[in-house]
Amino acid sequence: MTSLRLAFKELIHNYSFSALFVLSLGIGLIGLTSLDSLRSSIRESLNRKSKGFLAADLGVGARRRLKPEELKLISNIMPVGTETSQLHESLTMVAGVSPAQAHSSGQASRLTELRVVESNYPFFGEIELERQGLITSNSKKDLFVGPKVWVYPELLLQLGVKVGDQVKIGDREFEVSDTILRDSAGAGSDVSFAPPVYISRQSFEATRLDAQGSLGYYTLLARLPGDAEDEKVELLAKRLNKELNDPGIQITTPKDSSEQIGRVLNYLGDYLNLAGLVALLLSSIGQFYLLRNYFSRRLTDMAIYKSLGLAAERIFAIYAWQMVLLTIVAVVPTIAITAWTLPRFTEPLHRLLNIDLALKMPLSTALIVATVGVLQSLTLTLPYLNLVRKTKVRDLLQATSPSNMGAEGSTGLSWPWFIPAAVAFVALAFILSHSFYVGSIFIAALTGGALILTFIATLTLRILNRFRWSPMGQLSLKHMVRSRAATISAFLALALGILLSNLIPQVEAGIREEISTPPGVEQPSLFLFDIQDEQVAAIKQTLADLKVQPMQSAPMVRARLTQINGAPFSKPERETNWSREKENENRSRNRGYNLSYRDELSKSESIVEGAPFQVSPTAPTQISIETRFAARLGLKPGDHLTFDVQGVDITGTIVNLRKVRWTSFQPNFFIQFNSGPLDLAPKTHLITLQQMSLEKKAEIQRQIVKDYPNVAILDVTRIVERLLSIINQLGLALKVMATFTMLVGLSILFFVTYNQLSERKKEANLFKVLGASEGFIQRVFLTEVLLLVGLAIIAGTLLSYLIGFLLSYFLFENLYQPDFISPIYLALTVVIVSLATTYFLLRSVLSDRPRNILQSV
Amino acid sequence: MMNPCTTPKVSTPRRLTFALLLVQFFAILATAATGTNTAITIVCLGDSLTEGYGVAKEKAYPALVETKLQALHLKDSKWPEVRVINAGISGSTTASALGRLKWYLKQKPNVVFLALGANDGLRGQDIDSAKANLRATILLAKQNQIEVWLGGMYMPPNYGAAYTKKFHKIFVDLAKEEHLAFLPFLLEGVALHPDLVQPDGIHPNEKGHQEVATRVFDFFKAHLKERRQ
Repeated sequence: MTSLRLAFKELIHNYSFSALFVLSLGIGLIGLTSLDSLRSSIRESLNRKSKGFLAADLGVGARRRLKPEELKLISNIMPVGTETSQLHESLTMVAGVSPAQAHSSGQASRLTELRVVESNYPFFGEIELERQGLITSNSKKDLFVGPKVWVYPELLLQLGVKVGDQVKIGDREFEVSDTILRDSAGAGSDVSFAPPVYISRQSFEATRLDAQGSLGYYTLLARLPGDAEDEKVELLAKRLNKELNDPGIQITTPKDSSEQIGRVLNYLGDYLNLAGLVALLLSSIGQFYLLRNYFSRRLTDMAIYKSLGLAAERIFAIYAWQMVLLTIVAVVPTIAITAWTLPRFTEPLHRLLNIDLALKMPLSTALIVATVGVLQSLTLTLPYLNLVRKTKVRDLLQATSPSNMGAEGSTGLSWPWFIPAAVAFVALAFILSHSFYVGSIFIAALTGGALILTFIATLTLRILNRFRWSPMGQLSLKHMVRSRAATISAFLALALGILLSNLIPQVEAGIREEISTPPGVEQPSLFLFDIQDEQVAAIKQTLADLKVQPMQSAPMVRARLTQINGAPFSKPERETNWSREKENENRSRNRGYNLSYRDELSKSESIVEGAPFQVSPTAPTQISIETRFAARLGLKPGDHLTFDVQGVDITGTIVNLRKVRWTSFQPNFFIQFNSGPLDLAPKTHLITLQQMSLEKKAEIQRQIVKDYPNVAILDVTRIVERLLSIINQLGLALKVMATFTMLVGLSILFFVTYNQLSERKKEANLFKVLGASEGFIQRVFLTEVLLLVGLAIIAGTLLSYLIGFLLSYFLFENLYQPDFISPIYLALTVVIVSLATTYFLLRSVLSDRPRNILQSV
Repeated sequence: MMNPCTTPKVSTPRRLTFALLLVQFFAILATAATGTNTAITIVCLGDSLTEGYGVAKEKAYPALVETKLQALHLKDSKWPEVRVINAGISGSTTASALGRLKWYLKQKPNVVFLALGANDGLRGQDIDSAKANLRATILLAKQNQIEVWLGGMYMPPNYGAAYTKKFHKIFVDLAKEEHLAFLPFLLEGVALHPDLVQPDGIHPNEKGHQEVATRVFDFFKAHLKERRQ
């Protein structure tokens, strides 16, 4: 307890310094707290949206009813408190009851997708109805009061009925009680041919449509207790998958509910983990500097304790207590301020940037910040306390800073004592990244970066020292060379700070580019397919008459891939002892492919490997493969593929791998041929139409259904809108995160520069006492700062491009897009802030009275 | 027969040609004697059920039926040698039938086994239009002296009694109106058996295709027998 009392006493005695330490540490930790909270808020907001797609945390579905033993197994695996809801989706014909209505619309009945729901549906997301407003899990639903249905407006138009009218479903008539304006669920896994119709479970039974032989999809939706994190959900899904072990049962998580959403969430997850690591490292740099500064000022006190005969362990205990007390005093208000302030930014963020984020600080962030604060303070204290333990009192009293001591060679910080701090950092990095892969890659990249920066600094100092400089340059350089360790660590801190501040915008630019809509590409609204060869011209004419221009028209040829480079591709199906994955893989191999052909790329495509098609009447059979598909089958340019096209073998050579921007929402084909070889093969055509009004869409649908009943029409408007809304939100969230990281980085950089200059105050005083002019002193220091900051900016920025590229390559499917604007802004701000800090700090020293100056020296 | 040793001036290709001609001569003689086993080509014009969605092409019912018919021919040369072409395309509807038959006319088929319509029904398309498409295909086949055998389909009950009844009726009516050999339900004995279909609940698995092949083989055999008579 004496150590604690001594520690406390000393802190009180040096209250102004203690307050400054707490303030500085608090500012550093606010950066980490805010970034981590923002990260959690973004993740939560997008998770909520993606859960809205599935309407649940998790779904267990099959094309049959789940057996009682399967339901029991699921119930045993699910955590206590899990709520469930049964969803049954099935296609059926719905007819307008009045024959006059049916006749006027040109069709007696219409294919719809029945969604048979229970009263607690949807667990997440909402259904917006025209009359009843927003419907959520707890809302009262009139579907459960009498035979009623909710339909989409287009069905009303197609059947010629209105709200309040009756429609016939199976053996029963239902009242259309409301129209659906927006539905967050059901646009995920499959885009339906048919407009959905909501019906209650009780009413559905009366239709007698669920008889033996009926086809449908039965899903058990689950809401887990509390706010289920996606990692937890994924683990649960994995377990269910393993235990149920039936290829016919699909476990769906929000990530699986849509391929695009899954990809977006994967990018986001790794991006946010990366941002968390950057925040941790930035705060560690700040903390390291603060501690270094603290101990450089405390060396004299430590020497006094030592000269008074205090054992090294006691000295350790006093300073360890000081660290713990100061950190607690810094952490508590940091957490309180952030927890109070963040929610107040929700509304302005929504108003100014239209970002739908519920900003709040989660408990996990508070714990992480407290751990980072205490653990890092303690582990970083160790090297300094070891220094005190093994250094003579005389040397301690003479030293101005621990790093200077090291430079002079008499004694210094020994690196093995930094191992606990490094281990603590690595452990925190893994915890914060939520991923061993992301954590490892980040640490490897940053360690490599730090080594490169140390090498650059050492080499530069050595080279600069060889040249003859003007007296002013010589003085600036002399100090940097003399306190080599301090210079290198300041350079490292500055360059790493710049690197980290640039890193997130670098990575963000690539992801944003990938998820943005390609320039010049409009969003589609309707897909018309199964158009026969002889119908193409007539349908285009019909569309022209309706004043609609097709966006894209693509031929589709069905074929089986039979050989790759002469080796057979398809495998016979086996019945037993195959895992679910093996069976799925086998089935996908036996599945045919839709081939298409054209000579040029669309606006959403780009060649990533190989050459464009050679276009000539005598050109050989050339194939272009989508990159992900190529990776899945291990294909590369030069490979020969043989397809069985309706009994005719066609062999072609892969001439390029093609990247497709999926945000175009255009139909894209994994396998694309050049024009010619498939021209005569039996085929159908696909035509896409751009966004249009609901009335126009209904007019086209009516006309096409009437004139070309075989043509299937797929309305993709809602799914495109929903995906775009999530993607746009994500884009904005990424930008906010990147900007915020830069701001945090900037504040750390300012702190490092300020700290570095504070240590030089005495030297500036000495110059003044020795008679140097104010201008000369200012030029010496400004030159030194400019050299240090300039070199750190160049090295840090260049390295951020390299590490940004590496991280994009390993974590973000090589989505690298260098950002040249943000680094320029950051560099200019850092230079201006550094020079201004130097200037004002020197002015305060130079305007001081000589007596004070001499006293401080 | 000539002894090759005594005719050293005859070159090998010439000898081969001669041998082939000899074989062909005896084959013609044999055919004339039985009057039945001329090779027959059957085109199975269908959708994913015929294509063998999710199973290897050689495990889909057209290939299995061909193997059975070839075995029959080898066992008893009174049965013709039969070639079965799998002309199934996943997702195809009756609208594509006419164009696709034109493509297969080059193969000079003797029989078209028309097994289309399931996708029309599953997409809720106009039933009269599906019937018209099938009829047009049947007429084109007849114009080209191709016999048409019709495979029927049922819609699952979830489409509603009225629609499913009307849907199956098109096959029954067409068979009657156009005097076609008719297999009422291609998936008989498979559709309601979870162990015979893939997890999607629709497409037969390998076992399911064997079951389909048994029934289709019986159907083909019966009508090939009629052709013989």
